[in-house]
Amino acid sequence: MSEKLISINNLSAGTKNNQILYNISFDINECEIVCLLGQSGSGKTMTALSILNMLPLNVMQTSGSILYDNKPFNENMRGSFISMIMQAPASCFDNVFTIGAQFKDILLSNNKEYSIEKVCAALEKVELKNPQDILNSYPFQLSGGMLQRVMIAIALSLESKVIIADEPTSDLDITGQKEIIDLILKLKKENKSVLMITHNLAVAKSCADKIAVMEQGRIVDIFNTDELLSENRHKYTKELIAANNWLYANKWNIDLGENYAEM
Amino acid sequence: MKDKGLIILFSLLAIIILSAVFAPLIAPYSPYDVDITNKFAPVTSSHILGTDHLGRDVFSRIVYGTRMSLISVLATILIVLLLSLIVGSIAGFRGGLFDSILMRICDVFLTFPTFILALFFIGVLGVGLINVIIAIALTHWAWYARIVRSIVLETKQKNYVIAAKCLGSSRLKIVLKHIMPKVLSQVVILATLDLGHMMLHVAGLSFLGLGVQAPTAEWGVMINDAAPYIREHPELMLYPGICIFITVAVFNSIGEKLRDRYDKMQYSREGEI
Amino acid sequence: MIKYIVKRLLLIIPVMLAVSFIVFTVLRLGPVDPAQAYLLNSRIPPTAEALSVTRAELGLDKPFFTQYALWLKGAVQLDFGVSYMTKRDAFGDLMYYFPTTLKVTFLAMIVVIIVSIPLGILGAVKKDSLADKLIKFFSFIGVSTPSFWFGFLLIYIFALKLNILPPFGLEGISSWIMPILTLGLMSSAINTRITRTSFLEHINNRSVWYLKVNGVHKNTIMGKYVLKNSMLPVITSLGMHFGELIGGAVVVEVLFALPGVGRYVVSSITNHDYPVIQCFMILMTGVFIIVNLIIDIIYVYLNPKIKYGA
Repeated sequence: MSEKLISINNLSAGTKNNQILYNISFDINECEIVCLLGQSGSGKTMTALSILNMLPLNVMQTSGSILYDNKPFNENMRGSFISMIMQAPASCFDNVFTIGAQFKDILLSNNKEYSIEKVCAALEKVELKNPQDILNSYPFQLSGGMLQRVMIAIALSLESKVIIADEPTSDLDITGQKEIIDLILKLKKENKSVLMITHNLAVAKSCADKIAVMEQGRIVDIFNTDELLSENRHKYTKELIAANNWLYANKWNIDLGENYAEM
Repeated sequence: MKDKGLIILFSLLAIIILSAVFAPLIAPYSPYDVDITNKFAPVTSSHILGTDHLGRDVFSRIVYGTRMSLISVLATILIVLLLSLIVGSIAGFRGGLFDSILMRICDVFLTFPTFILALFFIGVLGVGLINVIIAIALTHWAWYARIVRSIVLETKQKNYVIAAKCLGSSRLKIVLKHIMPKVLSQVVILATLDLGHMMLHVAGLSFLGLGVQAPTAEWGVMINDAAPYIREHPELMLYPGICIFITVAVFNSIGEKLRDRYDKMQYSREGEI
Repeated sequence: MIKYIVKRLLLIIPVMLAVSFIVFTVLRLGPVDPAQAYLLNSRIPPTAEALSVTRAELGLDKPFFTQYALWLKGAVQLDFGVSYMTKRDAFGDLMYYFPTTLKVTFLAMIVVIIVSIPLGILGAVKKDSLADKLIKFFSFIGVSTPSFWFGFLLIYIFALKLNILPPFGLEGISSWIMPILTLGLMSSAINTRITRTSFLEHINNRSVWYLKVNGVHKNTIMGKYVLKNSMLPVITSLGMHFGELIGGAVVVEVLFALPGVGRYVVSSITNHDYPVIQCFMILMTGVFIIVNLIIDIIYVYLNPKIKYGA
């Protein structure tokens, strides 16, 4: 039986006159990729913010609890226990400092040792060439996909047990998406748990062990990925599957040769 | 209008404007009535702020001073707006060589420190209120022209303007209906924010003896007049100073409120799109 | 970087040429022509005969561009002609006063920097606290107060009532205090505001959020990331305000009877003393341009986006 790293129990949150989250409950276990799936505004990002204890000032947690490895939250968990990969990476780095400087500050703040060799190794793990050059460059000199990889490398080097990935694929084209998903799966192999936030069912299915479907602040359906096609799925999940089938109905029948193995 | 601060501000503004317009009705004496026998009179019911070193009624001079300050600063801003709207729009609309020449001219104006340039223009034109107005207008217009140009350029590329163009609106109609309102609203806000600053420049030049000349009732002149008697009669300096301060503060605050409101409006509108 | 500095230094030449041309031309467009001004200052009645003699003497009968070229040739060698008023070398006269003006301006600039940056940051970090409200009140007062009036208030309180500072003139270090406070007040208030706003904007930046969520300590975020970013607009603003300060210095010098260019320039303006006015404009604008060049270089140094031409 794997260990519960994060356990969310009956979490509700909202502003003064507007409830945003209703009784959210789910667990993130060791070495598990959990996907929060839903439209924008369904509350998936707000759930992630609750986990990070970073809700906006006007939003309050009204009930429920979140346990981290059976302990309550404390500030030191950010970075060392949970780290985060964000969407729109170009705006997530500071343009007046080099990537290396930001990498270093994040590691040192979490009492991790910083050495060029270690960091370069992490960058190579996310398939970035010339890691030394990347460390010396400024964020605006790199592409979105490269910065997304840098974020994953940072998350890897932090050695945190849980990584929250907020729409890491949303700004990328389809090949970029596949590469990032491959890296997320690689994170799992490195014994990390990932909470992936996405609106894309295909992305969720391709990497998740467990999918929680959110609609209007509630988890309406939660299941292991292999049960996605079961009869018991919620109406909304079925709509998503139908839409997905319509969009990707044709698997184009062409022999691309052995270099292009099917996903 | 629910904003309490705005109501207070506009009432203060109304008082300032009314006292400028109706100065002869409000002031109990002529601001130029010299009465040496009654100099430095204390505050009494007949002279509610006392009299100055020539026995002139301070309250009356203050009231008339409102006129000078408002007239000078409004005239300045009008010249600035006119000049900058013309130059900025031409540069923005026509582009090309026109644009580069006009903008280089603006650059040259912006190379000089403002107050120094105003001093220079007074050196050329000579001392006096009208010359001060021209000088300050000439030192401020370039900055506005650049802003007008950038708003024009920015608005020209907005989707709704392009849409209007595609739907066949005439050039003039696009300019009048879509671009000018945007330019004007932003420039007027900036001008309001700048009024106070210009007023301080006018007062500063008067203080140096380069602007409004004694015996004209003007706040800067009054402060200058009171300077030799600062030890015995500091209050003579206090009143006009407070008047400048309040007027400038009112303009600044109104400008800020307008800007905040405009920013909010802009924000919600962009949000809708 | 060095290439940029050299480029900017070379750019000063055309800019100063444009400045000198404008100064020279605009003075000629005024209602009082130089010969007239010269005679006025020499207390000689401007008869037609006297005017033509003076014109020839001052070289005003030559074609306009020849006159400009001759003047420019002199100006490059720091010879700006002879003051109509004092009949002494205009540049020499101004240089006698100029150091005091520069000193007042730079001291006020230092006041502006050490007042506005810490206050602005404090206000932003402790947003909506009592300290923030006081700081906002200070900037509100500061931007609306006429500097010369504020100077008189200081004189009244500290020199006449409390008797702890000399009211005017230059007698030791203490006599600098009131002038530089007077001069620095408005720019301090404005830059406090700019620092505060800029800091607050960057606190809400996504890059700051990313650092925070990955456990970077608040002090590192504020003291390093937000600070450096928020200083960029402040630096630009400080450059602009140097112009305000050097102009305000004229007022403050007259007010506190400091031996700077102030009173001399004001009398040369009222008396149409053109050589002095020309020299004054070139000096002041030259200093302003150089200071802004230095500011630009600092800006580029701090902002890699420009350094690497992105």
